[in-house]
Amino acid sequence: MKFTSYRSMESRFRVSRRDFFRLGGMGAVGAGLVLGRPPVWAEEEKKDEQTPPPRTKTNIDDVIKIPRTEHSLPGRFPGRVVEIHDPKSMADDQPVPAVVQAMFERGIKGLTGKDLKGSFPLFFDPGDVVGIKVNPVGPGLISTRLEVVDAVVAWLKAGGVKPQNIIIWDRFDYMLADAGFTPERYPGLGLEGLQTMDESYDPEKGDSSTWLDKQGRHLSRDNFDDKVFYWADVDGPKDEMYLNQHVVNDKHSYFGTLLTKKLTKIVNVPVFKNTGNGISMATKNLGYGAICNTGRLHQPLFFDVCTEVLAFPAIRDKLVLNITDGLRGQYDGGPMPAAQFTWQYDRLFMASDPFALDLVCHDLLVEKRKAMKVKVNEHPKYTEYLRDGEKLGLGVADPGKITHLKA
Amino acid sequence: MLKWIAALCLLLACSAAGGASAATVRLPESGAVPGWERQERLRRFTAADLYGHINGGAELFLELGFEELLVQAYHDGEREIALEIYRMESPLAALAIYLFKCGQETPWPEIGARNSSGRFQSTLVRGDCFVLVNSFSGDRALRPAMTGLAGKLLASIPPADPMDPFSELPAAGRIAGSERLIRGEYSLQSLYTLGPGDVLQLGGKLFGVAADYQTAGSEVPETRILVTYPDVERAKAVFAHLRSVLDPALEPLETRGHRLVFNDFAGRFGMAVQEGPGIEVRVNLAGHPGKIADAPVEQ
Repeated sequence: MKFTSYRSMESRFRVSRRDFFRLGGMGAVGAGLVLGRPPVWAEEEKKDEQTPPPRTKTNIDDVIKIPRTEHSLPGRFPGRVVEIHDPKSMADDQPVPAVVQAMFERGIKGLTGKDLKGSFPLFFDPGDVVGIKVNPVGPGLISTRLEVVDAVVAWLKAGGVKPQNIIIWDRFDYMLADAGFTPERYPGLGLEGLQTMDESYDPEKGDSSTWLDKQGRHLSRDNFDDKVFYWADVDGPKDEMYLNQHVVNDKHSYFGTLLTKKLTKIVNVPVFKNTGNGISMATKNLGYGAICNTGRLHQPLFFDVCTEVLAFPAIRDKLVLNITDGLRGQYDGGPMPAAQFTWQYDRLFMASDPFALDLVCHDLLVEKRKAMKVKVNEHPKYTEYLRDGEKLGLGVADPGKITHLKA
Repeated sequence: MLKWIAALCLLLACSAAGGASAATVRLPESGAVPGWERQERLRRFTAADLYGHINGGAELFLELGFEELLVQAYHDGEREIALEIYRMESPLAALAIYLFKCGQETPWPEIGARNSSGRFQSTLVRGDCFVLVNSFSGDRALRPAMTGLAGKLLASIPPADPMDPFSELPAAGRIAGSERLIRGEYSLQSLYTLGPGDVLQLGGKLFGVAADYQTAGSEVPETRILVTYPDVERAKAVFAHLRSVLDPALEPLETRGHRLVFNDFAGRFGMAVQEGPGIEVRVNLAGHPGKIADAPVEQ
């Protein structure tokens, strides 16, 4: 992808203090009772408002110019989120396959108004190559459950998609295996990690042959598309450990060729968990799972990545369905698994619109955090990226426009 | 003024308290707990690649003083337990990350260290180490193995000297278990958003303390944050910075001298006071804290 300019979303989305209150974020309480403000302070404040801290530039402006397709986000059902609850979904910490299958069917019907067979053509053609993006972090505890993926696979097969054209994928190959997504469990299906990484690599021992070729390129470098990249004006660290994990370490985060050249549709199956005050669910599962060289992005951009990466056609025009696996949830300590903060939630959530889905789930997670007496910072900035997604036409993040159905 | 100096001395002393070094942490060998074999693969993460283990969650560790992580798995047939040993730069840093990760503490008494444990995971702190003992199956029968491996590991980690970094926070009304140590943007953001970045300018070096307080008639507890800077001038500069970059979602209502009252995005109130080398912030106040007098002249 070529790009010619790097204007960030800053100019469009930054809200000044004055704007925030004018826009109604405070309602009546923001009526501007400013008493006795010293002139010097007022000048400082004015100066500050005139020069907001610069946001890291990215190539988002070039991406949003690319024409949309009939499958572009927010997909068939903008703003529609279906919650499926069955208290019998888990037994002895394990999903009950038949119950999960029934939940899946109820969810699809709730979303589309049709049964599985009738719903299939709304999202897929038999000739599609469908990628199922899972979240394998925290295997057994908070990772995507195999039983949920089984329901998706059965639906795709019944619709005529060839097994070899169903590909369960994640960014890291070894994590897939750790979470149980193995050839033995899924014979005939594709299983692909975008990259490998030598977890045991020790720079002091110096043997980098497990992840670096003789030309000094990461062994997984060719798994990423040179022509499709998320550019952000921040370099990755120049050490070997970073390169081992992130494939490249410049200002480019390349999309996996799996997404740009092979898949024609994507089904996204994240898990219901937090990351700090925010969530690590539908948008983050792809925002940080579809590209390499992400470590550099956390500090300067973090949640913005979840919006901007989803604006690329490789995701925007292929992501047709999101299923947040809430059979077990994690309300604190995330995104790393933290058992003491997990609980059996017995729910699935479905939507074609990942932004509406994430907003609904964010609010539910906040409720849970409050109920569990976890410190909650409800600052609007933790959902701002979802509203940015709506501004880019990728989804709905206005609660008044979201339909939250319970199937 | 004296209380601020005392607080600073205490935090400096806690920061400097001795603990384990990388060389002294010994992983349990195979058979140390009968039936459990140590796996060959030992994973080691430094600050540069911690993202590889906790993608999206590394910032808090780094800010609080992360130095090294060892991840070691043990197997008994198909059963697996993994130890994660996060070596922090001081016992105070280890306590800081523990308090963020332990949740409502449910200790197992057979573990000889402060811990919060359940069948899936034990979270514990000793010396300068924060440790996770993960049981992936959650099988209750593995509790002896989890505590056994933890015990063998803990034997090689020297305990920290006694410390109470929260002694300067008022005890009355404080909610047990709500205490936190903050040292920059990420730890502060977990409590409240006062402004962009490291708005209290802790720089990943200086610890502040925080805790929640139950207030009558309010479901949301008040949070108090206390930071003691090396000198008065530094505190004054930080306070001026805080005022100048106050978050857009906070509406300043009143200021007198070195005090500030604001109204937040949820309709609650907050206030910040700079006194001597200290800054105290109180947020999630149900009502306006009242008209505030000029700051004391002790500057």
